[in-house]
This record gives sequence, C-alpha cells and structure tokens, in this order.
Amino acid sequence: MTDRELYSTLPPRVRRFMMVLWTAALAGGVIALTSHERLVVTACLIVVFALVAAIPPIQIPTGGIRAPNLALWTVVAVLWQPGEAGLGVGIGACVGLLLFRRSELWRAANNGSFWGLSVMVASWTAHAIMPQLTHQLNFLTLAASAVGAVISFKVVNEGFVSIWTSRRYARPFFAEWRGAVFRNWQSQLLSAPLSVLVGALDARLGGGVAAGLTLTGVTALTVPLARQELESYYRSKAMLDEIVRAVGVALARVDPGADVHAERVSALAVETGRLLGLPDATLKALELAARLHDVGDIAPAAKLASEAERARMGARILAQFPDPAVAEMIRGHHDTNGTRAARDSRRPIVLRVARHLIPGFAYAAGTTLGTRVLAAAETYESARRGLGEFTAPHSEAESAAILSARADGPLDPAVVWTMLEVVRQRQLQDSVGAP
Amino acid sequence: MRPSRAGLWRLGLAIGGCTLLLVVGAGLAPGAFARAVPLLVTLLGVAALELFVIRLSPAAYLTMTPVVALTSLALAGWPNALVGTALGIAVTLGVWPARHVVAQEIEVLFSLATAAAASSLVSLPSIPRSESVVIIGCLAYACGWTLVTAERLHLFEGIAPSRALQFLVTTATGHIVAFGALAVATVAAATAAGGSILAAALAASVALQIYLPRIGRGLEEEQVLAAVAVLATAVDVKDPYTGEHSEAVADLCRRVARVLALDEQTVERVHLAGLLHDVGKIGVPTEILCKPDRLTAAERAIINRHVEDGAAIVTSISGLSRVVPIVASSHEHLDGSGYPRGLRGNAIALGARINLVVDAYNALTTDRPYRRGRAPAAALTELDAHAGSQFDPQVIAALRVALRVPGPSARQLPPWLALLRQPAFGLLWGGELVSFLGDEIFYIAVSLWVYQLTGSIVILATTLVATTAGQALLGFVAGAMADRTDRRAVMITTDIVRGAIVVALPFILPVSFPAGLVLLFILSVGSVFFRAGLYAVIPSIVTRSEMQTATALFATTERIAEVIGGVVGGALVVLLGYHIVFNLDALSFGVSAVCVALMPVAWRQGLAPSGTIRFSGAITESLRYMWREPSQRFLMLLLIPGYLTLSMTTLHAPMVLTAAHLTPIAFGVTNSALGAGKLAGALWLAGWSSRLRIGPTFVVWAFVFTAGATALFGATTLYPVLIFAAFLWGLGNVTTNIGNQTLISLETPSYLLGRIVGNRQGLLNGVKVIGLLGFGRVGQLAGPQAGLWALGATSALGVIWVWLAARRYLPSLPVAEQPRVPGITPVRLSVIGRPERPTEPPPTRAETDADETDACQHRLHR
Repeated sequence: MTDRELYSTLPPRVRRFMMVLWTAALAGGVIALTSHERLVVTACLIVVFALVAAIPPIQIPTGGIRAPNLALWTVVAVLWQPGEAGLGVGIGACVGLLLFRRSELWRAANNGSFWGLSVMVASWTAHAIMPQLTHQLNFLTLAASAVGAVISFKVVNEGFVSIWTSRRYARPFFAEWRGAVFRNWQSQLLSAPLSVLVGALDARLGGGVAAGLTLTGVTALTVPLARQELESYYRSKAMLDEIVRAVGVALARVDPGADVHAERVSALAVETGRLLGLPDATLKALELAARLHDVGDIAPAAKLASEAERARMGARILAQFPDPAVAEMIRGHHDTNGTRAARDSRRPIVLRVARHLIPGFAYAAGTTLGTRVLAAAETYESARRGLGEFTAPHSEAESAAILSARADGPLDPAVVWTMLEVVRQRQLQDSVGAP
Repeated sequence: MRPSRAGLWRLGLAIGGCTLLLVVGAGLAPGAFARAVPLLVTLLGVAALELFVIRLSPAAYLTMTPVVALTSLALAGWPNALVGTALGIAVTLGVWPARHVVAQEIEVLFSLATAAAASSLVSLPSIPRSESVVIIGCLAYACGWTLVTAERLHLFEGIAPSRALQFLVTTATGHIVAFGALAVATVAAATAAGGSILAAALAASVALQIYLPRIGRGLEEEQVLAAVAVLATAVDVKDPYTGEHSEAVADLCRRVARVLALDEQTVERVHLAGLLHDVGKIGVPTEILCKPDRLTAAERAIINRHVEDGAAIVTSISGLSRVVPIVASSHEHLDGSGYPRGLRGNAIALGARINLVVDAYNALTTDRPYRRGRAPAAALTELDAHAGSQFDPQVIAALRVALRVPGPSARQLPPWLALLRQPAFGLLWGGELVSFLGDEIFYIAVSLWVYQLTGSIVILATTLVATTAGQALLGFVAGAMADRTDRRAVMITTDIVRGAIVVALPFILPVSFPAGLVLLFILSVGSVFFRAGLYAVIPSIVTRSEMQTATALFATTERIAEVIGGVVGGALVVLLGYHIVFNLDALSFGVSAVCVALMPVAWRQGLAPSGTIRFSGAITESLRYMWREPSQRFLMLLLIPGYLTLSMTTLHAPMVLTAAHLTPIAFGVTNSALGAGKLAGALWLAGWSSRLRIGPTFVVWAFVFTAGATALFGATTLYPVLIFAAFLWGLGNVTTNIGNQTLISLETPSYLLGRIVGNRQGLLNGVKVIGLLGFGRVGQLAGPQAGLWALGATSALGVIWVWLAARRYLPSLPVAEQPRVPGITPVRLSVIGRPERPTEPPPTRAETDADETDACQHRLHR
C-alpha cells in the first residue's frame, strides 16, 4: 500500500476526533449490550458484515470509491434493533477490514465506527417511525420508516466522513457534508424499496430470528453481484476516455504535437467551464470535445478547407459519438457568430414545449455555452503555441490581449473574461510555485 | 438506446394526463376509480421498467416487465395484468420509438399471455394460490420468451437456432428467474400487507434498485460501441473512395461469424475487429493511401506498417484486449505469405481469417477510381482462386452462405423444404407418397377381399406370404436390373406393370385363385425392383450434403403412408367397394409413373458408360465390390448382427399377451407406439437435425440403441415401459435404416448403387428370416422375455465386435465433407444454408497468373 499512513503521523486534531469517535462507538455498544439485545443476532451480523467488508470497493476513474452497500445497511436497520444492528455492522466491518483487507487498525476502527453508529441511528429512526413489524402491516408506514432510515443513515454517515475530511484535509465541513448528502440522491432513495420488501416478507414469515437472518443473508449475497456489475460499468466508462485518447494518438501521427495541443485546450476549457458553473455532464462533454476538436484534420480535404469547414468535417466524423453535445460543440467552435447565445429560456414556453413534442419542429438556436468556451480556449492556445492562423508563438500577455480583443467580435465576452481570470490564477500559482 | 428528451416530455404528458383523468374520475365515480387502481399501477410500473432495459447484446434486450406483470397477475388477475402491461408498453413506445423495440415488445406480450394461460391452467399443490400463479407464470414466461426470441434472432439476425438458444439461456434465464423470485417475494410480502396492489410498484422499484448497475453497464457498452464506430469513421474519411468500408466489413464479418456458429461473445469481438481492422491507416499519409499508381517498395512498407500501428492503438484501449489478436493478424495469409509476422494455419485467429476474406470481398465488390467493382459471383470466384493459399476455404464457404441471406428480413428455407422445392426431388417424392399410399390401401383391400371370398385364414396367410416372399428372393436380380438399364425406366416400367396387374386382379382372382396368387407375387417383386431403382436414382438428383435429408424424407413418406393408409384403407373399402379401391391404386401407380417420367434427369444418368453388361457378371461384380471395399465390408458385416433386431416382431405379441398378460388392445397400442417412434425418427432426421452428420459411428450407435430398446422391451412387464420401449425401438429402427441408406448412397459409386442396395435388401431379408426362426425358438423354449434379452444382447455385442474389428478401416470412411486444408481445424457451418461442394480442387498459388495475383494483392491491401 503506497498511501499507508501510520497513526503516529496523523495530526493531533485528527487523532482527537478519532478518540471521540471510538468512545462514542464504544459507548453505543455498551448501552446496546445492557439493553437486552439478542447476542445471537449480533454475532451473526458480525459474521455477515465481516464477509461483506472483504469485498473491495471500486476505484472510480473520476476519483473516489464506491461500495454498493447502502441497501444492505438499510435492510439491517429496518429488520433489527438499533443495538444489534450497530454492533453487528461496526464490529463486523472492523474485523473484516482487518482480516481480509489488511487495513491498519485505526482505519478499520474508523470505518467500523462510522458505519456502526450510522446504522444504529438509522435503525433507531426506522423503529421510531414504525415501532414493531406486525403481521398486519401497512406498506406506506413501512416505506416511510425505510426512507427515514436511508436519510438518517446518509446524514449521519456523511456527517462523520465530512468531519474526518475537514479535520484531516482542512476542507470546509458544511460544504462537504451538504454536497455528499445530496450527491446522487435519487439512487440513494432507490435503496429504500428493498428494505420495504424485506420488512414485509419478514412480517409474513413471522418475524423470527431465523427468518430475519436468512433475509439479511440473501440481501448480502446481492452485494458482490452488484459490485461486479458496477465495476464493468466503470470500466466501460473508462473505455470511452481511452478511445478518445487513442484518436488523439492517431492524430499525433499525422500532425505531431496535436495531442499536446488538444490536452492543453481541454484543460483550459474545463477550468473555464467550471468557473462558469457548467454542470458535470457538460464539463465531461467539453473535455472530450476539446480533446477531439481537431479530428476533422484526418480528412484528406482538410488541407484545403477553412477552419470552420474542418470543424464541420470533425463533427461529421463524430456524428455517431455517444454524447451528441460533443459533435455539436466541435461543429460550432469556429463559427463567426459564436456570440449569439442559445437564449432558450427567453422563448415563449409554448414554443419550448412544442420543440420537444413535435418531431421536426425547431427554431434557430444559437451556439451553446460549451461551444463558446471551446472556441475561446482554442483561440488562446493557438495564439500561445503559434498554430493555425497564428504563424508564431505569442507570450501569455500577448495571447491574453488577442483574446480580449476578440471578445466583442467572434468570442463571447463573458467567456473571455472568465478565461482570462483562469489564466491569471495559473500565472499566480506558477509564480508562487517557482523557487 | 436512451429515451430522447422529447420522448421524456411525451411520457410525462401521458402519465400526467392519465393521472388527471383518474383523479377527475375518482371525483365523479369513486367505485370505478378503485377498480382502475390495479390497472394504473401496472401501467405505471411497466412503463417505468420498460425505460430501463438490460442489454444482452446489440440485438437482444431483456425488459424487467415480468416483475410487475407477474405480481399484477397474482394480485389483480390476468385482465388487469395483460391490459396494464400492453398500455404501459404502448406509452413507452411513444417515448422510445426505436426500430427493433416493437418486435421485442411483441415477444414480451406474447410470453406474458403464455404465462397467464399457463398459470390459470396449472397450479402447484401445497403452495398458496397467488405464489403458485407467479411461479408457473415465471416458468412459462421464461420458456415462451426464450423460444420466441431465439427464433427472432435466428430469422432476423442470422444466428443459428442452437446458438441463439444457448446465448439466451446463458445470458437471460438467470435474470428471468430472478424476476420471478422477486415477484414471488413481493406477492408473499403483499399478503402480509392485505394483498395491496401497491406491491407491484414496490416490486418495480426494487427491481430497478437491484438492476441499476447492470442497466448502466449495458448503456455504457453501447456508448463504447458508438465510440469505436467513431474511430472506424475516422479511418473511412481518410480514403474518400472506401466510403463506409469499415462498417460494411464489420457487418459482413458478423454475419459470416454467425454462419460459422461461433458463440455470440466471439461474434461481437469479430464485429469490433471488423470496425477496427484498418484503424492503423489513420497514421498513414494521405498521399500514399490515395495514390492511384503502383506503390514503390518504401511506400508499400509504410502502408504495411498500418497493421502494427492499428494493433498498438487497439491495445491502448483496455476493454478491447481480446480484439487485439484479430486486428494484429488480419493481414496474415493461410500459407504464411502475409504480413506482419507471416503466421500460417491455425496460428491465425479465426476472426482474422474471417476479416481477411470479408475485407477482400468488400474491396473487390466496391468501385475504385481505377476500376469498377465486380459482381458478387465474380468476386467469390476470385476469392476461390486463392482459397487455401491466402484465404480459409471454410470462411469463403460461410461467406457464400451469408451472402445468400440477402437482407436482414429474408428467411432461409429449412433443408427439407429446400429439397422438396427442387423439381426432380419434389416430383419423385410426391409420386412416391401417392404410390406408397396406394400400396397400403391395396394390401388392406386385398386381405379383406380374399378373406371375404374364401372365408379361410390359411388362404389369407398364403396370400400375404406370397406378397412378401418375393421381396427376399429377388433383391439381387432387381439391383442388377436397375444398374443395367436406366433406373428411371425400371421405375416407370414397374409402375405400369403393377398398375396393370392391380386393374386385372379383380377379374382374375374370382376366376382362378392360383393365377391371382401369381399376380400378387409379381406385384410384390415389382416393388422390390421399384425400390432398387428409387434408391439408386436418388444420388443423381441430390447433392451429397442433402443425402441424409433425402433418405429421411423417403422414410417419412413410407411411415406417413402406413399411418394414413391403415386408417383410410378400411374406410375406403367400406365406402367405395373393392373395384373402385383397386382402380384408385392403379391410378396411384399411374401418377407415380408420370411423376418419375417428368423428372428432369438425363437418360442413363449415373450408370457405367460402357454399354450393358452380362447379368451374372453384374451380380458377381457387385458382390466382389462389397467384400473388397473396406467400408462396404464393414457396413455389410455390421448389418448381420444389427438387423437381427428385426425379429423382435415375432416376440412382440407373445411378450405383450403372454408375459405381460395384457389385452390385444395393448398389443395395438404398443404397435402404434412403435410406428410413432419410426415416424418421429424419420421426421427428426429429415427436419431438425441437419447439423447431425451421419457417419459409421452414428450407424453403430443406432444399432446398439435399437438392441438396447429390444432388451428394454423384454426387461419388464410394466405397461408404460413397454410402450416407451416400443417407441424407442421404432426410433432406433428407422434411424438405422436412414443411416445405412445414407452411408451406402454416399459411399457407393453410382453405377453400382442399384446392385448394392438390392444385395443388401436380400441379405437383410435373409438375416431377418434367420432371426425370426432362431429367436422365435428361443422365445418358445425360455419365454419371450429371455428371447428378447438374448436378441438384444446378441445384436449389441455383435455390432460392437464388428465395430472393434473394423476400427482400422474407419479413418477411410466419410466423416465430414467440408473442404479440408492442412493446418486448419474444420468448423461446422450452421444450419442457415447449405455449403456448396467444391466442384474442383482450387489451383495452388504457383499455378495462378503471377501478375493477376499481384494485382489482386494490390487491390486487396488498399
């Protein structure tokens, strides 16, 4: 493990947080043990969660990891009493991480405490909404308790994680917490129905320990399967990037240096787009479009064609690309009317609805914000490296001057000012980083 | 396959409209609203699930609809389930009007209807009604969906039926069972909550939660495919003349791979390799790539480098690692003359061999600035000229088959139907059906009539013996006759003579009984001549690959004639009287003669060219041939123990009536089972087993199988087992007949075929007589059970002994009939079409015009 951190190297404030966390977890466990919880259930849950912890989570290409465990935690929270659930999940995860994944003790204890305490709270919420699973139950009550369990788990767990990241990496706590709780909230809520179903089945089977444990075990069996599918999903997602990179490499064979130029344009465009508040999906499309923006040069006719025509050739090549926004951005990035924004929101609502409902009905739309960002980034980078219309490389200041000179002409002024801000920040970072 | 934005708008409007209607309805008529809730829940659940489908392959999707539909079936009855599902699907189709979705939705609805019907007919004991409905429904749905979808994949995508079934069973059945399990769990949970229909919505959301990663993976795979297509387009724009070359090659590669019956994962890889086979050309300068003149050596080297470049590009995409070997060797030739590594034979991946052939075919058939594209037939001839040296002949054969499928909607005929549509074979078969039918009716009529005239069973038995004895004796002579004169002439003459006798019989038999017997004898001899002529003429009108189907079809004719003739004969005699029945039989001979005469077959086709030979000499020649030729000797020796099982007929009645103490009706039933077995075997071999290649091993096992069935018939006195064993015996018997006949027709030179068939008939009848006498005696002494056991054991042991003794001959016997190339493992072609037999050996590389080869290479590699 390359990122192995020893406990002694952690800052004191992090260690203090961990002490508090473990104390809370231990206290929860002691309270649970003294309040007549069933030890058999706890022992079985420990085994189940130790095994589940052996399944490694998936590294997501965009950073971060994922483990499809939320549905299982919710099921446990709905089926079992807070003490049983908390102890089972906490100790089980800790033991599993230590045994099967060779985690450091403090990491395993951290994760166990995070999950155990969160499940305890979730279970407490679920049982507060619906006190007891009975033979005559109501789906709506059960659903409410399951949703309550999901939300409380998410809030508490992300709260703990955010405290940890804010202590360890000095990130703003509230922003982290809010972002994590609301990230992907639809699929988080989608894990509630399974616990409704399992809860109702448990009631049907008489609510005994054996039935509950069987249902928990069956639910746990779906975790490795889901993980497998998720991994294939992310692998396919990564393939898209690899294919785009392969196109870049092939382009570099025809025109050496094209790949470096494309990467630079891509980095600048994405940073500008982020500052302009583009959503993640558009940013991804923008990144790919920037990396592919010269793909039209492959065509033999490209040598004689104007830049706008080359851009349109590139868009034709990319006609089948999965995300149509990519081809759209490339098509427009050399158009002279780049300033005309797509002011969709200013159209009458009747027209906007009709555009979606009636096939073939369209009104002239301007270029999208992504296109305008790409156009500006391309201009700046070409000027900087002396490509395209520019015969010689310009300095950063000259390139910025060229960019701002065009802000009233072919380029969108708002995009240009944002981009100049990005360039300024980069210069600042460079000057700070330089010895 | 993502719903468009406009589609989502429409979905929203549709759902909103429905809800509004229901809310208004609830205000106006609360009772009707309550009744509409199950329908609405089903509709919404199905619509939600239909938006998220599981992608199995580019051609097959699996919807999670059964989760909601089965739950609704159990909780709200079939009308709500079916109508709700249909409405839900209709709403989704408005959102997502993709081309092939309609066909898939019809499959879903059909399977669901099957499920509804099955679950209302069958119910599982000791399981609550609602759960039983779901379980039965799920099983029916799985079967119905798999079968219908496999058939669609076969018809529209050109996947061999067995491969399509295998693909669906391995990829989809587990999911459908999981859907069923989920539905059962939901229904069980709903009973705890008072049977609320809301459970269907719950099931839908749980299904979504569990399957979301799988659905996402399908969507991503689709995106990857689209991105790969972009890479291919980027190559194609480099050379404006090649147009959509990569797409076309990939498409044809996929079809060829499916004809070669590769599994679907491999087919998908071959398709991807087809898209990417030229991807290295992105880096080749356009001046060289589009140069109209001949290339210099240096330029040629630059172009040849594109294979390695392409492999490097594909290697950089981690998910395509299994496509790399195909791309890397897509320009290797079979004899090692290709580039970049000069691989040969099996060292080249099959996908690469497919790719090379299809690439060359596409290059030859498309227009270029310096020449026009060739016609498909001319291009295939050009490919044939390099088969075995550059190209894999199996792949060329598969390409022919694939090209015969003109478009995605065309349907290839099954082999038996294709055979029947050939004029020569159709006429022969039709004439025979009529003639066999007439025969059966005639024998029933004649038995009844003789019995009515004389009132004596002894005379009746004498008549029947007269009709069959001739067959045993004259086989040798009939065969020689068929080989001396034209076979068709023999058949026509026999038909005319038999027709004349049948017409004359009603006038002669009442006058002189002995004269009538002589006529009956001549009649039965005639059928021996006819059969010898018939089986000898078949190889002249069908190809070798059709032989098995042809033989099986004739066996089917005889069985059908037996069944129909037996039923119709008695009724006709009662209704019409003897004279008219006899005249009808004569007419059937006439029809047969006309059909045979109309067959478009040349005079004396298949006979030895050197004029007539002496009769005795002909018979001796054939016997000598049967003994000297190893394969013939093997088949002849095999026949002796193998056909001992024919004497099972003598022990059949004692076994059923005496040993098992059953009634004569039971005897009739076992007899029918035996006939049904024969019919089933003949139909099976004619229709559904074209992938089965009959060889010596097949015949051996068929004999052993029949011997086993004989022993099984004597094993127990249980009535069902007796019926089953009789069925198996019939199956085995007809299989041995067809196997033997096919092998003989394939192995024997045409000029000897009539005699060999005749000789074997004689030998077979001799064996039958010996078996009847010998094992009849054993049965008398030790009881029918022991007799049957002894019969089965003797036959099986004898067959196995002959087989072991003759094993060293076996390599010289026919096993497969595909073009063999050293160094290449033969691949079986799928059933979509019949491979052509190579008419002449392909010329070797040294024989072809060097200049032409070079020109071809130049064209192929551009």
